[in-house]
Amino acid sequence: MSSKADALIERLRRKEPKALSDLYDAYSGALYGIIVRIMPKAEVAEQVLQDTFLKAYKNIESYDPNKGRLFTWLVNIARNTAIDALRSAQYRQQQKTDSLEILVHNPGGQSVNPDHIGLRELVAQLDEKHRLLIDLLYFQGYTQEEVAEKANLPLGTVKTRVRQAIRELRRAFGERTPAVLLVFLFMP
Amino acid sequence: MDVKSFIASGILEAYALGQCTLEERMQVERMLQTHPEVRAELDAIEQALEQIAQVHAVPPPSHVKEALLQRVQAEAGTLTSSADRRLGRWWSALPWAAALLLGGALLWQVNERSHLNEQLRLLEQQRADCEKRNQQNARLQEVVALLRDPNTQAIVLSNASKEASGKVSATVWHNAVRAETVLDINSLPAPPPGYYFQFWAIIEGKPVSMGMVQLNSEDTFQRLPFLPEAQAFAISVEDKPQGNNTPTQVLMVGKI
Repeated sequence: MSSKADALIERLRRKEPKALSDLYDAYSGALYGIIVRIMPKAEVAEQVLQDTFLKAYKNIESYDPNKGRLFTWLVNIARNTAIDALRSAQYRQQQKTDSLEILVHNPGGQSVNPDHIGLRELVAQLDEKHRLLIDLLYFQGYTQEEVAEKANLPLGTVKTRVRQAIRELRRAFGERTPAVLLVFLFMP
Repeated sequence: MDVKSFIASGILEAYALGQCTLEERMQVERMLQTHPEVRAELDAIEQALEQIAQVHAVPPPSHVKEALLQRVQAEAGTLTSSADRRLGRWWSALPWAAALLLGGALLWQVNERSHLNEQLRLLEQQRADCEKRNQQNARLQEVVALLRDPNTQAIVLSNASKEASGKVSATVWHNAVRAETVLDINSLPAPPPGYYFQFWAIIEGKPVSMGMVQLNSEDTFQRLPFLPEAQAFAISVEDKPQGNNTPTQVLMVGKI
């Protein structure tokens, strides 16, 4: 955990309004990217994003840095809030089938942050089945059981593939990021 | 469980993805506390997921942030003024309000009581004053009746010795029919400091004391004993408050 994040958490605990603004600036895009994958309806997704930050701001005391990164904590709040919104909208059943089909036929269809344009190719180079898994589990909030059932795979296989997918991701980011940054540096 | 197979089980990935059961979560959190390598592994997994989330970040519309900050501000503002809390505050303040009211009432009563006592004391004093004035008035009426009586003589006492400097005088009203003798105090001069006036009747050439002149009386006149044999009155200056058996220095004399 970086000292910058520590300082932000400290400011959030003191309930500084500016701290919430900074938290939002740092993570709203990444969280919104996940929220819109679970709940594509813009006005509902925006409400979910707002609720996520409000919950985080109010419950910052319950965040324990020893149990994981701040962003992971935020993603869990965002995902649960989005899934709740989806359930309350009775939206889920239809959406689940749709997105699975979309993924099967058009797996690269996520919107991509232009700030990370170089990384996009990198993600695109991931094994397709790994990318699909991360998308379903991380971006769309499916459970491993749901994925196993839909993909007709044993749960153990799903778990192993998740681990492989994230290892691949780590390797990609770990090895390729400096090269990507170099590309950025020599861009006109 | 040894650390390597724990890490290899994929439980940390599931943990980072929020896919663990409560039991698994507690197991991971125990391992995190005791094994730094588990910590480092989880952190790497989380960082990778955070990075991919940033890659796929979608900037939300700007009004979302504004609405969020407004909402936080509004909630901070209404936190203390919501109806529930207001009611709660009222109820919790009730004992204090009651105590305050009781204390206030008590204080008011004590105050009122002392106020009433003061009023009563004043009334009592006024009543006593009134009584005194009534008596004074009655005495004055008697004197007026005496003065209106044609049988009343006004006897003016004046300087006894010719060599005395300055003219002094005093008036006595004498009525033989009514058997009354009254001295007009107002007509008297002030005695020298440390000296007193004594009143005398002269009977067959001899002075008979009729008492000391009461200069500090409430009334402006003084009733004297009625001596029918008196032929003249005299006022002497004495050095004792209770006077003497014989006049020390006769100041004024007046014949009846």
